[in-house]
Amino acid sequence: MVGIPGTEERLILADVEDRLRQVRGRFNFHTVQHHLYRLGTVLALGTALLIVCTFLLSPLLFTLVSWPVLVFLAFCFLFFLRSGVADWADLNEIARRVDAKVGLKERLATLVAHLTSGVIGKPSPSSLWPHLLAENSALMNEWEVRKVAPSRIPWSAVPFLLALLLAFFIASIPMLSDRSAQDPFSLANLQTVLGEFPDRASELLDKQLSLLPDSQGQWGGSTLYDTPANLEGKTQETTNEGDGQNQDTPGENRNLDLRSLASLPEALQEKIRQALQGLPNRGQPPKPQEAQPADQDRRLALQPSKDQKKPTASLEGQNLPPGEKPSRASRNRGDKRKEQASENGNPGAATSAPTQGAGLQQLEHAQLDRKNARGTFQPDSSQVPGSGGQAGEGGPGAGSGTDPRIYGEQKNLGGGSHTFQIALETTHEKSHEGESDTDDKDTGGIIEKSTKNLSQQQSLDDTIRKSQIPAEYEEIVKRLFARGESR
Amino acid sequence: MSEAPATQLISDFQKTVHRIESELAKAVIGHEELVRNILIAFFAGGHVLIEGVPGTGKTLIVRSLAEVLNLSFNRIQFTVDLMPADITGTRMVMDREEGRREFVFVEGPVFAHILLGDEINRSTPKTQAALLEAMAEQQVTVAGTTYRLPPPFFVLATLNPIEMEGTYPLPEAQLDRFFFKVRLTYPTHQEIQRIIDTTTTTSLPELHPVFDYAEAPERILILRKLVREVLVAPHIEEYIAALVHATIPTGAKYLNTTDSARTTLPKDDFVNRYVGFGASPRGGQTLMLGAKVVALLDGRANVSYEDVDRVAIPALNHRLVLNFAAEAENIDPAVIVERIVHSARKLRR
Repeated sequence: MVGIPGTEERLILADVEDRLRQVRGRFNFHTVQHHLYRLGTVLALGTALLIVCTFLLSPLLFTLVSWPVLVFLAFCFLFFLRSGVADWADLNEIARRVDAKVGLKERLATLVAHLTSGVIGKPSPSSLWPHLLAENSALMNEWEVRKVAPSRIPWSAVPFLLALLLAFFIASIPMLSDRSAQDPFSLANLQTVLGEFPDRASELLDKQLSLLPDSQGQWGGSTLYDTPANLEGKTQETTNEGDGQNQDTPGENRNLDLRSLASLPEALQEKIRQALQGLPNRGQPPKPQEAQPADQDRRLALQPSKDQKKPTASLEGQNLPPGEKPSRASRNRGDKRKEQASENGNPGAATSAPTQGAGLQQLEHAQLDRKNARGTFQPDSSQVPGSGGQAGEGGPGAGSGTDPRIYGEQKNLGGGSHTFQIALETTHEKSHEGESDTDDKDTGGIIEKSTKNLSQQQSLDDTIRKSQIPAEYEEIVKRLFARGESR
Repeated sequence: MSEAPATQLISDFQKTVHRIESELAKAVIGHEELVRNILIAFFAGGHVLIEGVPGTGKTLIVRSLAEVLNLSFNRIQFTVDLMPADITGTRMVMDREEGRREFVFVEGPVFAHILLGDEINRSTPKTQAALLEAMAEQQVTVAGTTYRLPPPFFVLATLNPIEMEGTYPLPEAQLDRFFFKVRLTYPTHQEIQRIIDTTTTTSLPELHPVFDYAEAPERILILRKLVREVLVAPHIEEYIAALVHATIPTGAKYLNTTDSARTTLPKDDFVNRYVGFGASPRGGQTLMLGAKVVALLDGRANVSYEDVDRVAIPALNHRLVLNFAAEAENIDPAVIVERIVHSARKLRR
């Protein structure tokens, strides 16, 4: 080649280096995928193990088992991270692999070894160096990037997918099980779940889909519609809370940290149970619904639906439209449970115990909470299942599907004292329509005034609209309402 | 880029060796592998120890080689009463024309390009040691005067494995100075038939020298220099070092315990059980140079793993000092080297 001496040599070296970099990219991407799949496999299996242990083991045993599992998972994470770094190939390594794959007899590796050691711009390392260059240049036609490093999914993807399926299957068992089943992985429960798997799965899927938000703007709990003043207030509250925490002494903080660390497995077990079955931990007394509602329930309860905009004479009709019968599967299960309850000599259990699967029950809680957010004043007795209230008679939320704990455990109701809620939604909507209703006259003026300056979305998100007012404030609220009436 | 000269050099090397082999094949029936090993050692600048039963063509091979290469050739028949001076030469009193007498150094048979030491184990260690300096330094010292041997200097010694009475096994230090130790096997049935056919008639094979007599040493030295120009990647050097290190048993004396090599091989069970002392660094040098010749013969300018493996057994088998257990169980050192090479394949990636 005529030109600057060494130009052809540099061109060949640049060509080889460029192609090797492409191969290296593919090899390293494949390596990263491989390690990620392996890590995913271990994590999926570990998660499945934890789920099984959550329901099979007591909190103490779960603590004993979960710590090694968590430590093992952390170790695996670090191990695969280290393996990924160690297997990260440089150009020399890639050249050796290409040599081995194509059968170049170390021609490429020798060239790259001298290339990386800085042969350019220096005297040739040997009188045979040009021959090596020429050979590599000629042999470059025999190996292509795609052939040497084809884009393929690593074999480790197969065990990863299997482990993922296993984890999903194990996680679905408690979701599809009856809520009353404290041990979802018992043989009897597994047979039941697997026997009714298609019905339960489709029902759970339908329920999930029905609760999806229509649009982001309809999330009742969103802060998107907060006024700047409200946002500032919330920020201030958060800051104050943070400051309050920071004011703790270091020793207290350390103790708190240790305590929270020690209770980590227990909390994890509880979280898993709640997430999959909506149940408190085994061996712990069930907590009041108000005190510890599931996060998802709370979110779903704040979520307005299309039906919410319409004035509803009976919320029972929302859950179960008139003339529409419950699905066959749920009816069948309900019938079965009624039969079981009858056999146990406890007919009331048929109505007091939830008859849906755990996941389904959880979703119903969410729907009921939504009702609760716009319910009318109800005496407690009508909310207690089995107390004589029938579907459509007790007003909104008094249907047979009402969760008995929707207003908390019965023992927390104050020994027969009343709790009540204001029919804010009804009043608001009807006052828009301008209808004259005796009930509406009592409260409509105040509520309308209180939400007058808010947008429609904000008024739906109004705090007072969602609040449950304790019985002891009944007199105060009534007095306020009376004042509004007098005006 | 001067591609053509480099390629031409390699091509010349290949052609020369192939011509030598084809000429040797006229006289030596069979033993192609042995001839190839001898030529590898010759162009790498080493010496060869041939072990074989009498009558299998050891002397024929060496004499034919000298004839083909057109180099000077001497033969020494080692016997018990052979003295060092019989090898190196001695100072003798010579009468000058003017009547003056003086000591003149008379060169021994070692002063030749190719030296055949026949049945080297029949002489005493003192005489054997006379070859040490010649083989290693390519020079001899007589009466305080050092004489350079004419390059290229190539020693080809033979060992007779039978009739071991009255023999003196070569010391390890001298064995280590041989580049290769090759074994001459019995010829096959067809080879014996051809040997009988070609050597019992009036028409003996005529060998044609590959080089001119005047330029032969220089040409050979150029080819030897070319061998050292062959390129080697660092991972090949690691591989060779790992092979050599793998021959050293775990509990060996003089083992460096602070060795933190990155590329190591697990010790073979045979090595720990049967090897007293492993190969020396000279073994590594042999592997490298031998592999370079093999690479050139393959038309490459770089060494590959296969080249190293190809020369591993002849380069290492005589460098392993086996212990009494190996002697008792009749363990062949070549088997141990073969096991090491086999286990070293996992180092290739």
